[in-house]
Amino acid sequence: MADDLELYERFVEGDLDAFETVFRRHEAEVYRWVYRIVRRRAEAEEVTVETFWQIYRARARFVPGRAFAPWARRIATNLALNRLRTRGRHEPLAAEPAAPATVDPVERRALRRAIAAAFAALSPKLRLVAVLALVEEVPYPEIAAALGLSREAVKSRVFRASRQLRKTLAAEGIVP
Amino acid sequence: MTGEPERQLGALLRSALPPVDEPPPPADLWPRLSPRLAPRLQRGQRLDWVLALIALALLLGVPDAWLAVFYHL
Repeated sequence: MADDLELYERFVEGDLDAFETVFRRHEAEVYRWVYRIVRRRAEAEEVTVETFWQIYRARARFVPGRAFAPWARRIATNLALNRLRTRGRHEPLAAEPAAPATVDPVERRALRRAIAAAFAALSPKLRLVAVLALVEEVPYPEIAAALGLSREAVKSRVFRASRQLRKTLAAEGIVP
Repeated sequence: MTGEPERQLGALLRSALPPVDEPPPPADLWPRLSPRLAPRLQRGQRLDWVLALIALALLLGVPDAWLAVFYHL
């Protein structure tokens, strides 16, 4: 794609029109990915803006002709992870999407609270892989690429996160 | 994900924290990003003004230079 190559070359050179085109092209994808991690609209928007600011500043490191989306996703993932870190260890995981009301709402609320607390007790690194792998069901290779880790390292983190989640939930009398 | 225990744990977690199929659409984020790029634009614009002022000062200081400028216009 000669047009794309030219666009990314202009972006690397600092052409703002090219950067805006790149932004418009990838904004939604980056936002969706970040939202899946932070699960809060306002934070997802902030992290998306920060991601593209970092992308602009690091443009000289991008090689036109290579895939832009995975590079952007990796930067976004790191920034989303930083956001989880600043949230604090015991701040509950946001759960903006409404769950279908198929069971007793009181029981569901208690379960949600317990699960949110169990997630909050995880370190940000483990929380991130747990959300992506266990809740969002993102395949390991995709998570590995976004984090710049091997598949085995992701698997190990998921295992550790699962073990810790089970332990915390078991203490609340919840056994999956 | 691999293994039945992880699948069971995943199902329990998703029952309380549903996966995000379609997140709420973001606002137009470009207006929030572009001000950060603006100083770079302004630096360029400032340089243009500095060059124009130098040229003006030169012309005022050396009135004969007007002739050269008119000659080249």
